[in-house]
Amino acid sequence: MSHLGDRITALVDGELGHDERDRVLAHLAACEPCRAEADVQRRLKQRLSSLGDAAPSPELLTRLYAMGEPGGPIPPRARPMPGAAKPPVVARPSAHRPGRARSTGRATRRGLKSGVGGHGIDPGHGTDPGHGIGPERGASRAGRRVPRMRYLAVGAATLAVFGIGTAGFVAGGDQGRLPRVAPALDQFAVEHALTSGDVPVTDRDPAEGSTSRP
Amino acid sequence: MKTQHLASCEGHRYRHGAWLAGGLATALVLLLSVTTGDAGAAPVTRRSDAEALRLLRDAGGAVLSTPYEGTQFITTWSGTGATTSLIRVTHTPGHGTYIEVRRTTADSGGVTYEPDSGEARGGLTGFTPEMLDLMARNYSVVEGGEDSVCGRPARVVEARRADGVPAGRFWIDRATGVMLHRELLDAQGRAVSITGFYDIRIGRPKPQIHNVQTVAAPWGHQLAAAELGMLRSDGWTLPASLPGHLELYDARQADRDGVIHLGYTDGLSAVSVFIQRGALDERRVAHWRKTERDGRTVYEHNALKRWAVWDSDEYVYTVLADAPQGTADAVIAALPHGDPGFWGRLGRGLKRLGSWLNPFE
Repeated sequence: MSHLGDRITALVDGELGHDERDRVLAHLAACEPCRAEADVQRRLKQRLSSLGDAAPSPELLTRLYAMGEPGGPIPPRARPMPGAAKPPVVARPSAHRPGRARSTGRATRRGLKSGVGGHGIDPGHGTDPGHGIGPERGASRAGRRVPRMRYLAVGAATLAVFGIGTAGFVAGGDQGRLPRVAPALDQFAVEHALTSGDVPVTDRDPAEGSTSRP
Repeated sequence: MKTQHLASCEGHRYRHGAWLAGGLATALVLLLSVTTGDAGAAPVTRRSDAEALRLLRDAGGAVLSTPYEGTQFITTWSGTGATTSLIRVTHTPGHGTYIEVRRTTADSGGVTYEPDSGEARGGLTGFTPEMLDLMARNYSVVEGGEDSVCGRPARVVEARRADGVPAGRFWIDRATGVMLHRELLDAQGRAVSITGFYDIRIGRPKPQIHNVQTVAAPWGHQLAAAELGMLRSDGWTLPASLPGHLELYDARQADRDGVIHLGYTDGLSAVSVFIQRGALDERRVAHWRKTERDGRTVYEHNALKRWAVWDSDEYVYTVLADAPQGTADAVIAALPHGDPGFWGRLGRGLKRLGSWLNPFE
């Protein structure tokens, strides 16, 4: 007598047609080993089904998705007027990543199916990241993006100040381009005397031995 | 109890702080009075004798309206001794004054002609009308009795400090009102400089032929207050006053090279500050006495005038003082020295960048 083999898995997964299922059930009634195998697979499936609640939380999945996606526009800062109702926090719409959401859901299902016969997790149960983002989640992402822009703004301002300061410092130190001047001492002496009511005479320069006239 | 103790401690602390602040302020005042010497001695407003002021005021006009000829001497004392210059002066009213400098230790000689029709000045009296106003404000100008100079009777006028010590004396010819002799004194009453006639003859001078090299005249471009303000905003340091109650009474600019001349006085001392853009070419003053101020070399030279030359932050300063040594030192110290520092250089550079970007400048 041959045993059921893979058809036990198909039976447990509900994939057999009506006639085939009757034949398999008749065989199980007479075959102790196949019945035992079918019991094992059923218990395993029930156990996996009960593990469906332990799937990754939507927050975790959304956070993981956000790590690899390009940045979107900065949401407007919520500044409610005094006494006004708190505005709702805008979350990223799921339409931004439809392909990613679908493929992720398929992958999850496929993986489970390959292991337990494809009957573990409800496909619509929290696998779409767009639907899984709550208000707190959106606020946290927006709050993280604003500081990043602040850092950019502060960095740009610092660079601008540093650049202007350096240019100013360089422009302010051109002593080398100044003309070298020798004060016209004789002319100054006469100018001083004429404006102060004094006698317009010049001082003899001790090193020159003589003083030129004004 | 504890609160009272704390309050008592706080009170002691405040009293100690007050004593400390008072002590520091007193020490600062004492330090300033010691370091500035003559510079801080002059009072602000004094009571003067109207007749003494009239004598001084008329002396400026008399020296222009009186014909005379004679020999004047100028002697200035400094720490290294006295310097004297001899001058032959010949004045014809309505024409002008020939000033012939005799060859002495202070000058190699030459002739200058000062026309009477030129810009009104003191007429060799040692002060201008503006200076006389400041003299009356800063000193007590009083009559000091009778004397004689070159055998001519003279009336003496004194300008006294607040403590009564004379800061200046003037001998005025009783007959003509011409200034015959004048002295500038320091705070201890010692002569700082003397200008007077060695001999004088009142009357029309004999015709003389002089080889006049220069017709002396002050720089024509007088700077108005608005122009001074613009120059200050451009970075020029042009103080309105200097230590020793020296006030700016005359500001001019040379047409040829843009040198600015600032004239300061307290009525007796006269200090000129010449400022020009550039770096100092030391060759002309390299043999002068060198002193250090804020890391920069100041070249000083005492002869008939007290000279100091240095450069600082793109400008060359030349100080020429008819003043006691303490006043001259305080003036030199009050003017810029050294480099502008980081912030000064940065500010100057930003201003320069702004002017480059401003199409209207």
